[in-house]
Amino acid sequence: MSNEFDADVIVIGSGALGSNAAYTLAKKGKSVIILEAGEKIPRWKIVENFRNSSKKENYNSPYPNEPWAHHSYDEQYIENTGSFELRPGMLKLVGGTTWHWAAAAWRYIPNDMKLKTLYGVGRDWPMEYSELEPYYLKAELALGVCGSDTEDQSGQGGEAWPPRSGKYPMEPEGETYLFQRLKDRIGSAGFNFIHEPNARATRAYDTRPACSGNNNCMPVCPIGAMYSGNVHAQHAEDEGAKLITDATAYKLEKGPNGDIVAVHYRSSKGDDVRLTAKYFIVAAHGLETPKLLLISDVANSSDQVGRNLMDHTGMGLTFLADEEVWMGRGAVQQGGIFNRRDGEFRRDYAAVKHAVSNGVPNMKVARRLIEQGVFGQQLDERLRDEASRWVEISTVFEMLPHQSNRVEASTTRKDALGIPMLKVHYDVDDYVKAAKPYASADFARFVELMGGTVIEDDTGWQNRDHLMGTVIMGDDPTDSVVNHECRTWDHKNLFLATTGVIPASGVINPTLTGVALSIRAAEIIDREI
Amino acid sequence: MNKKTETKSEAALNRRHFLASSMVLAGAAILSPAIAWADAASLTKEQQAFSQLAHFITGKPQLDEVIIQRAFDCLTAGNKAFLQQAETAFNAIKQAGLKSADDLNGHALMDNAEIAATLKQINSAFYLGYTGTPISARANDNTQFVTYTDALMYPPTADATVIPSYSRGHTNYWVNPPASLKK
Ligand SMILES: Cc1cc2nc3c(=O)[nH]c(=O)nc-3n(C[C@H](O)[C@H](O)[C@H](O)COP(=O)(O)OP(=O)(O)OC[C@H]3O[C@@H](n4cnc5c(N)ncnc54)[C@H](O)[C@@H]3O)c2cc1C
Repeated sequence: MSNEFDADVIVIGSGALGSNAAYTLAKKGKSVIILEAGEKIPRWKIVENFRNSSKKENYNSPYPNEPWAHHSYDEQYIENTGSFELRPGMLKLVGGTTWHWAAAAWRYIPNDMKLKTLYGVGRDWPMEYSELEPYYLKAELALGVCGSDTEDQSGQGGEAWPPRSGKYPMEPEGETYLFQRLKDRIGSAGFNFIHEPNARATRAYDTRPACSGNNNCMPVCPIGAMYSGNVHAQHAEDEGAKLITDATAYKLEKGPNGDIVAVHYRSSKGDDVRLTAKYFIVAAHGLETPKLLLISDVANSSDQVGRNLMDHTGMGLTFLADEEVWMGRGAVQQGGIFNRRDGEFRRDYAAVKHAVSNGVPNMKVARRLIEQGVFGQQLDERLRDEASRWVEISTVFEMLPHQSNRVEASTTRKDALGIPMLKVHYDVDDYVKAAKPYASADFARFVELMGGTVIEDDTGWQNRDHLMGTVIMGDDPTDSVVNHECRTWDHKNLFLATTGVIPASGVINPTLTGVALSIRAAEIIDREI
Repeated sequence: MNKKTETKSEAALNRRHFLASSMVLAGAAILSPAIAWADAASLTKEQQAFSQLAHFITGKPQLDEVIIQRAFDCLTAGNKAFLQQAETAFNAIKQAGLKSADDLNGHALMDNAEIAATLKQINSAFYLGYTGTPISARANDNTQFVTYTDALMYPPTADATVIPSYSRGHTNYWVNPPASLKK
């Protein structure tokens, strides 16, 4: 470590992306400081908070919501101005939001990264799948992903795809009875069911035990079989990284030559600290990262910071099958139907993914029956019957980047540290809307094939908590924020480790890709220091 | 000032009414199943009456008294008119001569919106384990915790699915259907 700097690298945010970058650098002997806005909280406390919560379906409720470190459901945190209320479930504590993700760990397929070239819409990635592939493998090893090495994840029923240079670290979990039944009846009509690669251990892995089916991935895995960012926050600390909690970065300071020279943070105790480093990585997630750049007035010569915001805005289907399928055994999700993941149709409308949910449905079933005025023995009987036949499909759409869908620093709301909160403008685009009839037609077909009775098939647009595009990656400094290395065009020592760099959303959950890019960025920094 | 006094005396009146009706009901076999609560002596008459009502509505003779009291506290704290509404529901059930919770299914009593809402609120507290109305994607709402592991929504499926976060299984147990489905 140099005497002139507080650290070689300062990482802002201890989520899965920041922690993996920090660990990669610390392991290589670099001095690393991690700044984390929230606190370190042991798993058992979160589990107890969950069990004692009056809002079990509110995944943020077991987590801290402090005036100086709000979780995203705080009433004041996001001011929405668009037609859609974007409110992803982001957390502030050591380990970040993957404390309550569902651990879907997909890779993009090569075509997802050439959307403009192949289909004339959206943007291309500034890199090839083959360049990212080795880092996907590293990310899968880090997160302990289990997956199928033989399926065509593009959903076209072909050979194993996308290409892999190595096997998944773990074999997939066994197929749930629910999945087997849906696959049998819906799959036989030509719908391709694909196992979802996921960061749940199917045998002891790293520090984690194997999943035993607690069915509580969201909001907290009680045994830590599911990966969350705290694993690598701890690994980074064990490799010598210094983790500072209750430390909210609020300013990146530019030096005379355009490099970033320091970061300033505040704590709830009144500290206001300036730290210097050779390199900086902002890993504060897809909304807070652009906000920090905007309030620091850095990295925005393109005027793209905060713009191009994409979620996999979705919709849902709930129905009762004509047979017992018993949702709720195993983890909360296992895979889905991928026929619409790729194809020429993407010229005209969004790709679609249908995921099969697998959460114990009793709360929803019971609430509905009670509301209908069912009591007593009849309530118990119907509850059992409907819970056994309940099916939920969670559908997502591919969104395109638009200038007007954006996050900015709020001009009216500040947190307890005096730091602006968030303003978001989000409209679901026509590309997504054009795909809705196809998704709805699929819904009708699923219900028909399962001899089902619809409970709900028109939910309206829903949040899917996947934040992309806000610090968009590209090969032109005038219309993107970072290059393929995740290095900001404007400051050569400022890197961004966030799913916000993703320029084309596809339909798959973005975190594995974010981790792969973050490990890659850390390795680039390591070579340069 | 005035308002405060009014509220107070209103509450007292409600208490008296509820008390009176519960005494009457206590003598009615249909609403006094042979339940014994550990600490009955320390409970107010309203709490005792509520306990009977809860047993009746849920159709469960063996509700945990601590949970009943927690539900009582949540429901009364969340709604000033609750005692009055509970009393009304109580009397209506009595007058209709209902013998069990199942008699409520499709009964004309449920056409009375206020009575129906009260009965559902109570049923819901015990089945779902909370009172109030959740607001999604917000930090605050008026929900209150009643119970988790004793929520009545779980026993009907206990042989097949877990209470989330309390696995009783092992990796891959889920490849098989529940025992009740095995031929
Ligand atoms: C319910 C739910 C389910 C999900 N399921 C999946 C899934 O199955 N698969 C998938 O790929 N993705 C899923 N996601 C998305 C996934 O959680 C995110 O993509 C992932 O957490 C992003 O990681 P991150 O490290 O970028 O951000 P985060 O995990 O949010 O971590 C960012 C960290 O930065 C800290 N921070 C923020 N601002 C500052 C600051 N100014 N100074 C210091 N620290 C700061 C925060 O406190 C936080 O700890 C899900 C999300 C939700 C809400």
